[in-house]
Amino acid sequence: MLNRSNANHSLASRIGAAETEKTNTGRELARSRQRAMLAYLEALRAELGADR
Amino acid sequence: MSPAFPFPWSASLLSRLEKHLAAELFHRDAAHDLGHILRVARLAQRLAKAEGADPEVCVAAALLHDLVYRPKNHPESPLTAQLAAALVPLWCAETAGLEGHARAVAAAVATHSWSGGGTPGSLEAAVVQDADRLEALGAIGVARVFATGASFGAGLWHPLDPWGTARELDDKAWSLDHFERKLLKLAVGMKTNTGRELARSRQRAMLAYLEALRAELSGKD
Repeated sequence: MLNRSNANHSLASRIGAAETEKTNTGRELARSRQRAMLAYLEALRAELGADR
Repeated sequence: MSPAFPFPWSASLLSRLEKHLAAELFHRDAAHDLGHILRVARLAQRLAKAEGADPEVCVAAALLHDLVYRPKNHPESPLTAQLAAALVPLWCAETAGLEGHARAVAAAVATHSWSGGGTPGSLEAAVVQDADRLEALGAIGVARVFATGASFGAGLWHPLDPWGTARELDDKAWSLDHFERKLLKLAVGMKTNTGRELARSRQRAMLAYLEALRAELSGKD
């Protein structure tokens, strides 16, 4: 069974895109959008893993 | 990766299926590839176990449910379930171990599709229909709807009115319209208890995606 929290932390570290934005507002928006993306990936991971 | 279906016929059927897909006339979009077929088969196996359906019939029908593919904008697209069902007896007859299941497998294939409009006449047919519809929901469904739309030239969403508040929904033109036209209606039509339960969970994932999209598109994220 995957540890989703660890998996997402590792994924977020690998992506890291939010921290490369050049402005404060850009970083803030990027973090919010990255959270949405990680939630999506978590749901996808659960669906792809559940039927194995 | 091995799909690992526990039936004596599964390896030979899969091998034949892969060759069939490689030789097809129409190029399959990414939402209807071998990966989709295998996921539907795994879901069918899971639902069959939970619902007490015949797992061999369910998995065989799931593996053969998209045997005939036509692009979504092709006039024969609504007929593919019937066309596939017509091929099933031959496929079963030529697959050692499946000969005795031809009728049940063909019936399940015939009624699986949304556009075909069929009503499942057995528990196994209900399982296969639910398994295929679950693939249209959730995070997987989100990926698949945009892949399918892209395959026939649909845009992601209407640039001025993405949610269709002041226009007719048109999912041939805009993939986002397909959520309201079809995808968000699927959960209530599930035929098995396990399918309904999984559909609710996947619909929540889909609604969370739509909520994030709405926030971003409206500049409120």
